[in-house]
Amino acid sequence: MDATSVSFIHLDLVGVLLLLIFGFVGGLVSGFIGSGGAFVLTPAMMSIGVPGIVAVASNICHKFPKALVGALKRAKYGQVDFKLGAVLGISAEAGMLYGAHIQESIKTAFGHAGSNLYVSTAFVLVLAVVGSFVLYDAWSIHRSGEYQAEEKVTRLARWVQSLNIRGTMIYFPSIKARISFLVTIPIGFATGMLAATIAVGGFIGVPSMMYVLGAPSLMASATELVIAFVMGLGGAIKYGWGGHVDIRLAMILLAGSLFGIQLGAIGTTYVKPYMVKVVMGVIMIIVLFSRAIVIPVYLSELNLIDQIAPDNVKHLQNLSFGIMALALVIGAGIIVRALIVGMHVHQLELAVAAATAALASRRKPLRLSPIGRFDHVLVATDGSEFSAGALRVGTRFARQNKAELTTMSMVMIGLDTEDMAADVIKHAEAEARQVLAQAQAAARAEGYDTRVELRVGVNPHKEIVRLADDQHADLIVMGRRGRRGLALMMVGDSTRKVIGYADCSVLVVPRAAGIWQKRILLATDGSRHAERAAEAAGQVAKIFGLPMTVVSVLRPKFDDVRRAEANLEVDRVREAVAQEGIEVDSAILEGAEPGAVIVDFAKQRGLDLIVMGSHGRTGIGRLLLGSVAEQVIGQAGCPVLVVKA
Amino acid sequence: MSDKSKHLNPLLGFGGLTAVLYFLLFYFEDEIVEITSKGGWSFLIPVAVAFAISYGHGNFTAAFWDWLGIKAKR
Repeated sequence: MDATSVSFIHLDLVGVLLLLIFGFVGGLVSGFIGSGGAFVLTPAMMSIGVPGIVAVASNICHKFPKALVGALKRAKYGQVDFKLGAVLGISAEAGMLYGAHIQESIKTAFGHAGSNLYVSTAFVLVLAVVGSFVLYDAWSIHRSGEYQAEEKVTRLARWVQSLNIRGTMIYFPSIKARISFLVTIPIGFATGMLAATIAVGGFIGVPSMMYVLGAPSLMASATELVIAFVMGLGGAIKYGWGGHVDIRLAMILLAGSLFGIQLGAIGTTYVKPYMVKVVMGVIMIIVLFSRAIVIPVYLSELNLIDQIAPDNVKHLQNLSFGIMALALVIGAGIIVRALIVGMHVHQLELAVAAATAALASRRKPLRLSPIGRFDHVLVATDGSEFSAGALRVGTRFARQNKAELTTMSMVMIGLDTEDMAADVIKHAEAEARQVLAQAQAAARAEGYDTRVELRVGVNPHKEIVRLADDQHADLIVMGRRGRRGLALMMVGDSTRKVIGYADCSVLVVPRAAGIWQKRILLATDGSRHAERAAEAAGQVAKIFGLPMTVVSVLRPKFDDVRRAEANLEVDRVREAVAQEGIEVDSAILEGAEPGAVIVDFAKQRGLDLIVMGSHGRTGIGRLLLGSVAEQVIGQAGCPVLVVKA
Repeated sequence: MSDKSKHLNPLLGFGGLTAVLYFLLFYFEDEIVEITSKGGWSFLIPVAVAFAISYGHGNFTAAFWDWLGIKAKR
């Protein structure tokens, strides 16, 4: 090594590792906000013994290839406006040369301390003004919650875009407007001057593109990489001509920073655009403090204030460097966190999309089958007020559908009254016959006729189900609870059992309910039973010429996949119903208790028939109605049609 | 696994190229430092080295994150 290269230090392993880490973190920040990763590298290199001028030269020589790789990467995501970057880069180059010239003049006039004071003051002033504004803007977006909204173009940017100076207008794709390049000159120049002064031109370049020219933040930060490349290349040539570039240092920095810049660039595709402002604002404000606390040192060196003890000077300088590194680490931390969260959310979105697509391909379009007709209706009555609604609605339904109508009643014999006196049974039979005669008269009064059946047995539900089977009934109509009904708010025991054991559908009619005249509500859960319910609801809608509303209820704990499935299912049913020429709309409801949600919805919308599927259980499960069906039947003010699959 | 193996070729190819470039840089360390510290037209050396390594290492780092499954969203 000859005398000219003595300023290039010998590299040890710790120094190399430190440079790799600093390079990586700096690259991560640069890849994300377009700039800001370099300012900590010069002091970092100096701290391991690299002479100042070599540190600056090597930093700038690692900066341009880093910016090149970052710009190309982000160009793949459509974020780079090369034209704007080149136009700003040219004036930035001029600004950088002028900035360096001012630096040298100040150094000549006021010495090293004067130069440092100038640099720190520039840092503090620029970062205080621009940093506060950027951070305030990010905070405003965060508070408004309008992360996805198109970024607002400032009034200043609108004015700049409205300027029309002949012969100077250039169209910039990132701004989607023609702008006079005369406006870009001071912006580029200031960016270059700042780069020459504090090594981070982007702290002026990026906010200027966003707030003065009206470029979106992601495009501004990506385009800054083009400016950084142009300036960096110019700087590398200048310092290389002077023989100051230690290419080994520059390439070690590059080894780490290219990992970082790739990751930072990837990060921009996952975050909301305002995160660029958050990271930039946070770094700027923290760096501001790092520079502000060393200003007294330079003031004392210039004898403008009392002398500060050398130990304290060292402490302040160390603290300043520590805060600067902290700014970078915090910025990198925000980026990494945003990337991890963004990737996680994206994976969830992909899972939802895949599940939805799989579901859509698995399920054929629903066709409402013409089966599900109601040709034979069986009305069960015990002559009580509780079955008055069933008798009324059952008769009207049969008449409207021109269906065969059977009205049945029962004489119940308790197991413990097997030896009941014959005259008591005869009396009960006579009473039941009277009920049936009244029912027949009522039907005739409606202009229709009904066959009557009297059954004697132990269990009402068995007699009803048996008769329905014997007569091949398509529909059993009965009250919500019988004379021997249990608690008033519960579905009657017989009703529950009939629904459980019958092979056909069951229409449960509350005492005061009448025939539906407004709109039918179909509750679907995407099951096979729901498809049959849709067919039945479609038939009823056609018979009565009524419109229909299809609903599905989401429980709050449902994940995105279940929600997507519900949406898909509702759409599928709605389309199938619409194809039958029925007027139909749909709604997705949400609540912890779906039964109550359905009943409330029907009440609010004035829907007067609820149709839902039944799980058609076997064994002991037949006695269990399911909480949703139980709630709907128990609480609805209108008839509920339970369709068996 | 097939996705990972798809990214293995560029990872190994550009990784090898980068290793060779860095090896050459440090193998001829003394000569390069001596020439570049003289300044003048020798500035072409650091600029050329920077471009060459940014090509090899830039593609290697891109392949590295791809290989790890950390890819851009759009």
